[in-house]
Amino acid sequence: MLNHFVSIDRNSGDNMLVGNTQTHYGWISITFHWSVAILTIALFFLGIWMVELDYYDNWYQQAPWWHKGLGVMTLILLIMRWVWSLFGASPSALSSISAWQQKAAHWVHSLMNLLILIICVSGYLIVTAKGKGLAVFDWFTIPSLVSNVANLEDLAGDVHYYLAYLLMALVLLHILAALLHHFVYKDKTLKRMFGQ
Amino acid sequence: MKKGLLGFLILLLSSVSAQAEYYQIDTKGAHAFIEFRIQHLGFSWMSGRFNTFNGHYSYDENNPAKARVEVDIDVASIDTNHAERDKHLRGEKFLDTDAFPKASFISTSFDQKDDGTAVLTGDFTLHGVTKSIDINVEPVGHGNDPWGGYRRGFVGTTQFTIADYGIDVAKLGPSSQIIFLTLSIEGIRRSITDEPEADKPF
Repeated sequence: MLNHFVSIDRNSGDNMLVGNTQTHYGWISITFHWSVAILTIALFFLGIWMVELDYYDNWYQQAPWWHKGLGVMTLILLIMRWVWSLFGASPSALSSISAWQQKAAHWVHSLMNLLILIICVSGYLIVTAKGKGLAVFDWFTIPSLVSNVANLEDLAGDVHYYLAYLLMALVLLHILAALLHHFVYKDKTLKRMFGQ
Repeated sequence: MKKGLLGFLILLLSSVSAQAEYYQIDTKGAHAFIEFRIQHLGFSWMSGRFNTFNGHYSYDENNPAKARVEVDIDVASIDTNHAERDKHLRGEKFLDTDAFPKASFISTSFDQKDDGTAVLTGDFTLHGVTKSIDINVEPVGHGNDPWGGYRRGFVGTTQFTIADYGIDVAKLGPSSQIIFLTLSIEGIRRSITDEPEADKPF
């Protein structure tokens, strides 16, 4: 199915691929990458900002409303991205990159995805720990599934908090590595994530 | 012989009734509640409770002034029917339950009036601060329960300024500075001689 997409693109002469090839990322993978990236970073700063808000602040109710809604969007994107990756080819790392760096990159990517997953689930558990559902904007509500664990909201809160900082450390590492490839090694690693 | 036995029984009964009765607060069967109310924005009341606590009291109808009460509260068991708010209340900005997991009340006096109501005074410890508070007590009832036990219940009400216990709630607004407590207590009478030494009430 993917090859079909790719061949259509090629036939149409469009440089932007839908699916991935062995050497290029298609626009679906690229969109997934950047939307998850922007949401993850935005949610981190929204999160650390909103918990310090004064009770009488205009944003006291609104900021968590956005944080929850966007958090669930991120989880949905993460799952869609994972499903997409199962069906499509993943471009190989550039041959100029050493084996240990490829291995390190693979581990950091996997760990970041795992952390986003755990952070999303723990966030959901904070909200739903006492049986209330999680309202996603004003669209729909995810019901509570686990609500009979004592002080679950505190445990989930600790997981949510500390893993968010760990994730941001990995994000920083990921960004530094991308910049290293771009400015020091001067290879196409970063450019590929912009469709080249 | 018969007379002697009767006399002995009367003596035994009178000595029992002259003794203080010890009661275990029935938290196991959840016939005791520590509920609180605080105003929200000055518009309405928010209520919650502490789910986990234990305690006991002694009470002697003939000498109520000797009544004693001791209660320990697991502060982290606070429950306002809203997980996010409970997490918030347990945090450092409010109850700081990691640093101060336990609250306690130890009575210092019990002043019963002729109408049966009483003022229970005691040292209340919360957030690491101990202060004397007065609790207005009303007896509810007492007697044999249907399962072979004997129970006695009271309801107590009190209020205090939260900031007195070193908890800064100024940010909640001027209407939310005082907390109102209702303590619904049912005690099951017990024989202290049946209990292991460590578990003796006082």
